[in-house]
Amino acid sequence: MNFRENRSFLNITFLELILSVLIFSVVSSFCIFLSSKAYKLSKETEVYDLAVNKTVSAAELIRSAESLDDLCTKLHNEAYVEHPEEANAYIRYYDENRNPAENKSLAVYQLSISYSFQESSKLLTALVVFAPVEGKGKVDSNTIRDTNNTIYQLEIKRYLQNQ
Amino acid sequence: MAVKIKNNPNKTAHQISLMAPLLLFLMLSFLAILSVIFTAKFYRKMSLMTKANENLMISCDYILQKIRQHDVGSVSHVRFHGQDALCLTTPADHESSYVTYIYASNGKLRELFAKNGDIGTLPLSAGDPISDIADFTIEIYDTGYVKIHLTDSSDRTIEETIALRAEAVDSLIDTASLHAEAVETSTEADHTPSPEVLP
Repeated sequence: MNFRENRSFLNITFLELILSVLIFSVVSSFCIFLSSKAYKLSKETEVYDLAVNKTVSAAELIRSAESLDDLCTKLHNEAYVEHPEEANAYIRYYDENRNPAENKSLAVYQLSISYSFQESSKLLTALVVFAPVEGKGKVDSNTIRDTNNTIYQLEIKRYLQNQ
Repeated sequence: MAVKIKNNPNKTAHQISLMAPLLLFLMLSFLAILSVIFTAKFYRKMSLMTKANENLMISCDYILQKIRQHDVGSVSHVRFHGQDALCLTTPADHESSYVTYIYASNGKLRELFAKNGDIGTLPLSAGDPISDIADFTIEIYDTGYVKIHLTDSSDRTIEETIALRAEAVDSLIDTASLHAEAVETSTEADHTPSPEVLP
């Protein structure tokens, strides 16, 4: 009888130990998951802030333009280069430290400005897009990136008085 | 006379059953402390990163709003005690005007609001601190936009371009002449900021 009681006590203790280890593992892994998720979100917010800052700056530059030539001169002065694949478009690259990158191979993000101009109405329509360079600058969250691989974009309409 | 020590199996089992939970408790405590340290480090890094980012963004937005407020008035670039300063002029009446200088000094972005003639007598420390910024530079282009650069203590930089309205660009010349007059009339040459309205 005594032996049976002792064995049953050991079984319960063993079960308790296993349960405590399991609960601890689950709770600690959940905590670590939460921390890493928060860190990831914080990093993504930083990228989103960068995207908003650069896109708004480009929009302000377009807003200050008085004519199409003036816009092109300003974009050249600000180190934008002509888009290698698109006509009527300019591009500027950024590395992971937010600094302008010399070329695409060093870049992680890109800011592209594509524009169209209706000469009859003197209306300039520009699209400013901040996106990761293909295969780089991954942003996992769907909340800050749409299906077109864009982090942030703005459409600007500007009436060019002096055109 | 030899003493025989007998191992009591019941006693050994009892000792192990006592030791096992104790060891497990120690192990769990150690892991718990480790995970708390790990999480705290993560949180601290995140918090610092967010704070630095917010600091730059808020300072940038503050300056942007200030320029917007004075857009139709006057925006210019002056040197105030050797520091780059953004000068925003608010005309009070026909004779006097007030100026707001925004500049970086002693690791802080500062704002100084004073009467145009008196501002040269004030030291750099007279400005109200706005945020923690190591360096602040301005470029005003006569083609109608302003570029500001802000650098924080950890060498992170933010750059913002702000378009000015036509009135503000035209008034750059007026502001330059206004400051030139202020320098000529000032008797305290050492304290007077040397205004340089840069293209």
